[in-house]
Formats: sequence, structure tokens, C-alpha cells
Amino acid sequence: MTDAKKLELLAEAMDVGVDELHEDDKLTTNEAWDSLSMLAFMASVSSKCKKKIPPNDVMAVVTVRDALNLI
Amino acid sequence: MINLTDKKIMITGASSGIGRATSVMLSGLGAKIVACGRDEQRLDETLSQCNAGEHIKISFDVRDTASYGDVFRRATADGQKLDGLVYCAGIAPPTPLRVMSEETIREVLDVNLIGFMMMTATYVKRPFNNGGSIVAISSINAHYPQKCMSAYAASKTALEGAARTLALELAEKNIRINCVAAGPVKTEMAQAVLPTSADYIHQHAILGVLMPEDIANAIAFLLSDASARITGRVMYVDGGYLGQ
Repeated sequence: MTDAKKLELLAEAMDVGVDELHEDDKLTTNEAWDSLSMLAFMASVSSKCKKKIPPNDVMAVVTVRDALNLI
Repeated sequence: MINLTDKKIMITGASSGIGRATSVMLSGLGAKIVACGRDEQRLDETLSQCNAGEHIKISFDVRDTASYGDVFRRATADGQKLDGLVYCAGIAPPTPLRVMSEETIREVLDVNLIGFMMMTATYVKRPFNNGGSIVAISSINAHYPQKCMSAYAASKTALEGAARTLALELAEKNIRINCVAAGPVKTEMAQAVLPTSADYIHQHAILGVLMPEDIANAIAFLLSDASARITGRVMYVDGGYLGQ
């Protein structure tokens, strides 16, 4: 999956526009990166990429790049 | 006193969690287990924990409803019909609506509901049963809303509705059917929640998070003659979760 597609997946999980996210952005200070977004991110990666991300790995995400690296 | 000596019980989802604990417990009560699941190696692990007996393992995917006839023929190939069915197979993917897909909904319904109904439909065919008791695992999610669990809750609500209604049809065949609504149980399936959700669950289960054996106890009761006048009902084993 390309980085652009990964970014789309993350944006959909956070319910924000893809143009609002940049690789170096901090997610820990982004109000849209809440527990619902984390669950949505895990669910999307599971259904679209057939990959299970451990909850603790999602909780440890700091930047957009960290999230993309989990996909 | 619950005694299942020489009763033959088929258990789906027997490769882990509640299904495995139920297999082990029922074998300890004298039952002959037909352990069903997708992973043959894990079924072997389950049977290795069971009391010695002429247990049977059958590896198949409950989504493959076309295979059910063959599954039941293999389960009864030794000439002994089934005395019970425990439907433990289930999936519970936490899925917020914003990323919900038709595929996710269908997968949850396929495993949690359609598999149960079609297994029941096959069980009741005359060559396969001695009457008996069917138990399906439901969840407190059918009675208590929880974010991101809409597909799962829908499947378990439907499962309970189906069991309640099927009880009317099955009574004349001397078959009982009931559900166990499980609270938060410590299983692999339940580990896929965020730590914050886990904290919430711990706070609300006033008797603590359940172990698979707690659910297996209720299943053993509903399979036994001790519950001979109970059908079409839901038994809550929730650690007090719904009582608050």
C-alpha cells in the first residue's frame, strides 16, 4: 500500500480531510486522534490490510508517520 | 448434580476461549466431545486438556454452511447420535461506524448468527440427534450498548431472538435451546480492546472479569437434565455487569 493510501486510511479513521494530515504532524496533540479514532484505525487496518495491530502499539503512536508505519 | 456421562456434545469454537473451556469441563462431567474449529492443531491442544475419552475433532469453518451435512455425518459416524450442541464460534471486531463496511457486517452475521441457525437446522435432522439441548453464546452487548460494537450487538440480539423462537419449533422434537449472555470474559477475542476500554470493563463487572470456565459452568447446566424444563431463555453470566 502506498503512503498516500495509508494516509487516506488514517484520515478516514480520524474523520478528517486527508489534506489536514502531514507525516511530521503530532497526533498526540490532535483532538481528532481520540479513542474512537484509534479503534477505527485498528478496525480499518484489520479489514483492509488483514493485519492486527496490538492496542498498545496504537496507544504509543506519536506522529502521523508512526501511525503509517503500523500499516 | 450435573452428570453428562456418555452424552455426545458438539462444540463449535472449541479451539480457544469459552469453547475450549467448555470442552474440557464437559469431558470432566463424562461427555464425549465433538470439538469443532478452524485450526486442527489448536483442536488437538483442546482435546489434550480434556479427560480421556473417545472424543472427536472436526476442522471446518462455520462460514462454510455447505459443509455442515458432512460435519454432522462425521460426528455421528460411530453410530452414536448427538445429545447437545454448543455454539461458541464468534467474532467481535470493534468497528466504529465511520469505518464500517458491508463486508464487516456480513462477516459478523455469517459467523455469529447464520452459522448458529444453520448448525441448529442441521442438528435437528433425525439422523443426527437424540433430542437434547442446544446452547448458544450470546453477550451482554445484546442488552447494553457499547460504542463500536453495533454489528456484534446486532448479531447477538438476533441470535437470542432466533433461539427464543426456535424453542417453539424444537420442543416437539424434545430439543431445548437456550442462550448464555456472557459478560466480559478473559479470552483472546476480548484482548482486542484499548486499555481505556479494559479499565471501564473492570470497573463495571462488580464480581470481576469472568473466566471462560464461568461460562462453561452455565453451559453444563443448560445441557444437563437439571435444566430439563428450561427452553427459549437467556441465562446471564455477567459478573453483575448488567445489575448496576
